[in-house]
Amino acid sequence: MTSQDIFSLFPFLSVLSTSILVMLYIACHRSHKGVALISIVGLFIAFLSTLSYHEPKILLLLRIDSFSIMLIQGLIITSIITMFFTYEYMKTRREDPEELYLLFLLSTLGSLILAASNNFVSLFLGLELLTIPLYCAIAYTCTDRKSIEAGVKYIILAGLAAALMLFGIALIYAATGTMDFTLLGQSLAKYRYQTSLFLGGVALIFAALSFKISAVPFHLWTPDVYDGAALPATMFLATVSKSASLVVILRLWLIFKPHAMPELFWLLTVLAILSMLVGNLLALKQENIKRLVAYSSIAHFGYLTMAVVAAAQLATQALLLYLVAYVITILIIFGVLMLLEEPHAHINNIADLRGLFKKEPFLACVFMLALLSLMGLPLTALFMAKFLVIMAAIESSLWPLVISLIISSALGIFVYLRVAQHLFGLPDERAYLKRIKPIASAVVALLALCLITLGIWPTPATEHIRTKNTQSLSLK
Amino acid sequence: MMLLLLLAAPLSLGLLALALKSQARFLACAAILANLSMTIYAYLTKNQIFRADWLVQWGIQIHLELDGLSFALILTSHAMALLAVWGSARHIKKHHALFYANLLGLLTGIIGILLSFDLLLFFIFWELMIIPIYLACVIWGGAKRYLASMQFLIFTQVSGLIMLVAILSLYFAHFAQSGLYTFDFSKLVTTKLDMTMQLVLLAGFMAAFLVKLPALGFHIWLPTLFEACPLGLILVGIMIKTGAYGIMRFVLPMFPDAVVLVAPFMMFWGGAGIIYGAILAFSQNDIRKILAYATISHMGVVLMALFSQSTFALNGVVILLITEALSTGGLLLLFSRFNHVTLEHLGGLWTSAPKIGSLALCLIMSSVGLPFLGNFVGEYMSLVGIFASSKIAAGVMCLGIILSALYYLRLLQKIFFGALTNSSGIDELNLFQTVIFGGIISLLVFIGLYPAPLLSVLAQTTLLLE
Repeated sequence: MTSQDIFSLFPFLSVLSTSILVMLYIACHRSHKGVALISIVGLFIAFLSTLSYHEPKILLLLRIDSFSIMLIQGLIITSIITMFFTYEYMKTRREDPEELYLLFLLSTLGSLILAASNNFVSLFLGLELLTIPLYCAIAYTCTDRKSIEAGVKYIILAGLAAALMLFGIALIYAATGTMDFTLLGQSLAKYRYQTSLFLGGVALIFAALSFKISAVPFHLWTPDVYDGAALPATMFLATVSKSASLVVILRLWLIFKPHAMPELFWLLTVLAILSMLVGNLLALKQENIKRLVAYSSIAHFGYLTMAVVAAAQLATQALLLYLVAYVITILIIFGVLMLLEEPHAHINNIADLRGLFKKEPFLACVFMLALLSLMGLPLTALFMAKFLVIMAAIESSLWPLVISLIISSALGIFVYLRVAQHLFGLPDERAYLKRIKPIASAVVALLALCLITLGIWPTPATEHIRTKNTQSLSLK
Repeated sequence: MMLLLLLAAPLSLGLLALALKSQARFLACAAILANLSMTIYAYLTKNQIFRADWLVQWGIQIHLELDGLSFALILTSHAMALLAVWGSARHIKKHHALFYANLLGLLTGIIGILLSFDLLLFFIFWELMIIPIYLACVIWGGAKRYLASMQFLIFTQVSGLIMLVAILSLYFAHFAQSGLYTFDFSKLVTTKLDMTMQLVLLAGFMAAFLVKLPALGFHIWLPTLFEACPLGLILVGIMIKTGAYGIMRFVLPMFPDAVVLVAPFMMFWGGAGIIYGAILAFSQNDIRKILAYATISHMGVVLMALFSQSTFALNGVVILLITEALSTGGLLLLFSRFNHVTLEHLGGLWTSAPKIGSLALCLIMSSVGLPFLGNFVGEYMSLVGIFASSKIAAGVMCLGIILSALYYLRLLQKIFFGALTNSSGIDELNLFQTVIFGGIISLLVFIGLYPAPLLSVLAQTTLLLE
């Protein structure tokens, strides 16, 4: 390993050292503000170091090319915003908030490794590093029974998924004799593995990853965990964890797909269709806002899986734009909830948002914008992304998927409108005493601005994705 | 550039009105009048095309064109918007500024629909137009507002998505032929499609347009929306024309062979709509529902005429749309002065409000299709076209006209004649209001007597059936 290699690993190292620093700092002195500041600055340094990227490096475990750098940047920014909202949220809580940042930092490191993994070993390590701190983060508010319950549910099912993953990796290794993605691609091109050993391995790996993005039928944990976990953990799970897992699915699909695997194609198609339909169907009558977002996320990851299946040049743009737009929207949704929720007055039901328009017109408008975006109305980012997904699917003639998307969108409108209508209802006696700080409003406004900008003028973003992706693909 | 300004002006003034809070009503009036004069100016100076790149990599342009058809309908939309601003003053109890900003937003959406010659741009305006109506219904609506807004949004959104899929299929079909990615209508219209493809795409486009029209079977949202949203009524009146416009502008020229094939079916459908709407309008007790079903019945005529494959009938349709908007809009405004909306609570108003009565009589006579009044011209021209293509259909349409006389006269009788009910208090129109309603009626009379100027404007329409 040369010094240049180490330099290219700087983003990872800086997140790692930040987490060590945070751990030592907590040991010496408990200060919420200090820990939050160190974490955010540390992540920011990691982000800055990615900007100095100039040439691709393919290491044994990691593949640092323009594409993974782009993903890393996205994950770091999402993590920073999550930590900002966590700070605003945890300020008023009884629990000691410091360790939460440590858990998030480690989890972020896991997601970065996952996004850059070039080997099944790093993939598994990244996945576990992403997941294990999340067990604790989900059960963080340990005075709350629901939180513990969610943590236990997640630990059991995630443990099962990890076992499936390991078994799948072992089977693929047994069939092909390699764990390296580049070598695997070459070996797939040379020999056509259609043995049940190999196919079984692939199926197990995709099952494990489907669990992470909560595709139907691996979705059962989602509503309970979203509902039970502390809001920061939910936000982190819904954005960083899920995006990193989806990116891995895309990466593996791009390796396996050129070698004519109809089985895998059908597997993902069925997963996508089921997720789209079941997710929004289950969200239809949901009264609990967090469970509703959980079910709707299942549907949205169905659309994303659809973009994976359609993976042409356009589909990668569509997929990543959708992911970015979805993450921004979810950050707004959970961000607004975190700003509004008070220690003794949880926002559980959608009826708790009643009259928000009267009390907090600005937050209500941004929340409404996020809902419109989830519905896929034009001039919001998710419309543009959904448009591209449909376009990619039609280009590849994936008609069953297109039809399911239309049905699911119809259900989705019903789901989000039920929330939206409460915003305009008459306020009840419950008052939001919490004062929203200007900086929090500014962050929310910035996110909303991104949402609209991506909806009106997505060209810079899609061109960025396209060029980085082409550079990365030409690297082979 | 002028055309882009037409879109930008109402939207920005609407936002200004929202920011200023006071004077919103005045600003809205000013914005609409300014926009109206700009439209006329742009039309007269032949400043009629605007093209700019938007998302070049996917062939999406901002391509706006103002031809005779769009011009006539945009003028009507402005007139209706003015009426809405004027008539809503007494009903808006809260969020004044937001209401007018919302109205201007709706106007922007409709102008966008009428000007767009890029199919994706058209689709975006088509979807955006829904939001102001949704907000109007949810914020200022009555008892059933949630149900109504939900029905409306789901119907329009789903049908819109189906149209999007059709647009995209056409886009790729065009690419396969010409190697060019474009959403430009003037290019897509040249795509050669086989019969099956034409039929499938026609169905996709018609899904969106039939919902907005609304045709029988897709109409469920309309009566609920009329009932829930008394103020939105006029807004809906503005919006509803876009369905017929879409069929005329896009479906007829793009899928000529499929249109011939489905024409008998569509005419049957339109005829069924006429009879269904008329029967239901006759049996309602709620004024708003009567007007909603009357609209459905009239839109049956429009659907028949659209598929009668005659240019003469198409011109008739446009005149019918314009006069229908004026007469129904006027009626809505008049009836919104009543304190009750059900016929049981109304009666004998002629004695206490003779002006309202006589004005309503004129408007109803126009809606029924009395000669020398505007609607007659449109109905006559449609009838000629329909007669040429099917005599049975023409018979059904005539039956529809007779039925419309039945339900409208019943409405008139129950409200204005008979015993005076004591609960039906009403304030009579003042001079200014009388003048405005008089203006609507004289406009209808003018179109009825001398439709030539309107027809000569319509003659300058591009891509209307050859």
